[in-house]
Amino acid sequence: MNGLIMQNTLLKQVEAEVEKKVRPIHREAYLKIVVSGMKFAMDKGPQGILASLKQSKDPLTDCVKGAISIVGLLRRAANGKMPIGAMIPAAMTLMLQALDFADKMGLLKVRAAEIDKATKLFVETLLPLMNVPPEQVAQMTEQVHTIMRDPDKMQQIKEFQNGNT
Amino acid sequence: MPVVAVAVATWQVAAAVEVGFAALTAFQTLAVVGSVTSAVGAVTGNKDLSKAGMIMGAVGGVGNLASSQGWLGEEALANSQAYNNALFGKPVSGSVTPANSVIPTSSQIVPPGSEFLPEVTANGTGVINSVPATDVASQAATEAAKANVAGLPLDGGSGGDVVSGAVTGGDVVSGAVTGGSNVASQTATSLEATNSAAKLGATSFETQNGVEVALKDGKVVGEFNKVTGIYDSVAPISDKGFTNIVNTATADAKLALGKPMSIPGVTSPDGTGYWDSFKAFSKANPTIAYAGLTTIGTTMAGLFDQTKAAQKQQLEAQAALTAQQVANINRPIGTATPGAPRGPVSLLNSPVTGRVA
Repeated sequence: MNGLIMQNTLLKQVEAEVEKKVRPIHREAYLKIVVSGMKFAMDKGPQGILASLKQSKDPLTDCVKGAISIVGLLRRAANGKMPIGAMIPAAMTLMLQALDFADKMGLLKVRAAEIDKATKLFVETLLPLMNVPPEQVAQMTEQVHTIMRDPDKMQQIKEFQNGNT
Repeated sequence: MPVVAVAVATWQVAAAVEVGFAALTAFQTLAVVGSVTSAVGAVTGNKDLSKAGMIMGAVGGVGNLASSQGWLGEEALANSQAYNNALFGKPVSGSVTPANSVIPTSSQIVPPGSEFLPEVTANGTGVINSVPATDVASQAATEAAKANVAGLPLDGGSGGDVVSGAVTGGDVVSGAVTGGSNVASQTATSLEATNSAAKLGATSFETQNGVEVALKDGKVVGEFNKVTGIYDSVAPISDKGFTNIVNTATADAKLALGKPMSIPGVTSPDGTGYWDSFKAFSKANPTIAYAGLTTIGTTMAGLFDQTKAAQKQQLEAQAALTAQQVANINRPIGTATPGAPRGPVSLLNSPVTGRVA
């Protein structure tokens, strides 16, 4: 299934790789979100959200933010009952679909550099929307850093590994 | 682009009313975002992106585990309480105990020093060799390696390989998506767990791929969340309401028209704050042990949803058609072809004369 219709080979590969990250337990939810998102984006065909990319002054940014926003709308419509493990990969897949669409329309040439840039923007856009601002990430990183420098904690982790606790 | 502005504004509304949920899932969010980020880097060949994704995954995964173990102090407790308050509408009486009774079995854990994610093939996704936990715990080794680290070049710089010894390929922490929550199966016996399972209508429980799940009529309806100590629903969108959700989202978009687009919480306009954190982390941890992280398989066999997959294919085809339609609409309108016939054109060069039998 992975990206059979997508035209851009690199985007296809990324989509396939992202889908590998979706845990089986979230697989169905992931597909529902993607399918819902694509239906929503293509509603009204050439006058729909996806097609409106042709008016965009910054197609790459709009592909990223549009995909994330659509998932946000769907999440709201689902009363928030959308697992993180399905929602984030689905948003990424919708972003890749939008990029492929823009590529097909000749709005931008999507190569590795564009996908990398879109991914960075994806992270920078999604995390604050999930109420995980840079300061919190710094704090979380520091917490984990502290744990990893604590021999006792590391020993406990090691013991978890060995199943000794 | 107005539509995007509308959508983001609506997201803000949704995010604002779910503070407890958002705070609770910060580590999980980071783990999943890290996972997809590293996936992209693996395909595009951007090792910096892969490393950043790996670090995000590691921070999310280890953090999730640490939270479940109560190592993060009051924060985990507060998050659990916030979540329960949000879920049940009032504080839960008594203490909310982090699910720290996790005892992994040896079969679920990658032994220290062994290859990490050995099932990951090198082509395309790469392989990580784990670093024994002792290496990371060893301050001397860390400090010694530090001297050789140039930092994490996220913008195509030429910095050294910051996670030397930890990364040998592209994709890094596919297991991090599962994070600490899947380090081991566990027994969910708390009152909160029981209540949450009851809300889902669960009639039985079992462990699947190292995850404790609740089942109803043989179908998985909940997944045990070690951080909250309750079962999270895994059926976010019912089939019955599938179409309605799209309609509702469309209606939401219309209602939100004209609202300005802004992203709350971003203090670093260019988003570099995130990458700086990971860069600092990589500098401080030149060798990263993934002890405590393990992976559950991401085997899709038997769990593939053919119906939704077919729908997705149809929609992809529709997207291709729409792209063509839009391209046609945008095409410049007609110019005369040089040398085109003018005037009346006779269909036959030589009129037939005489009678035709």
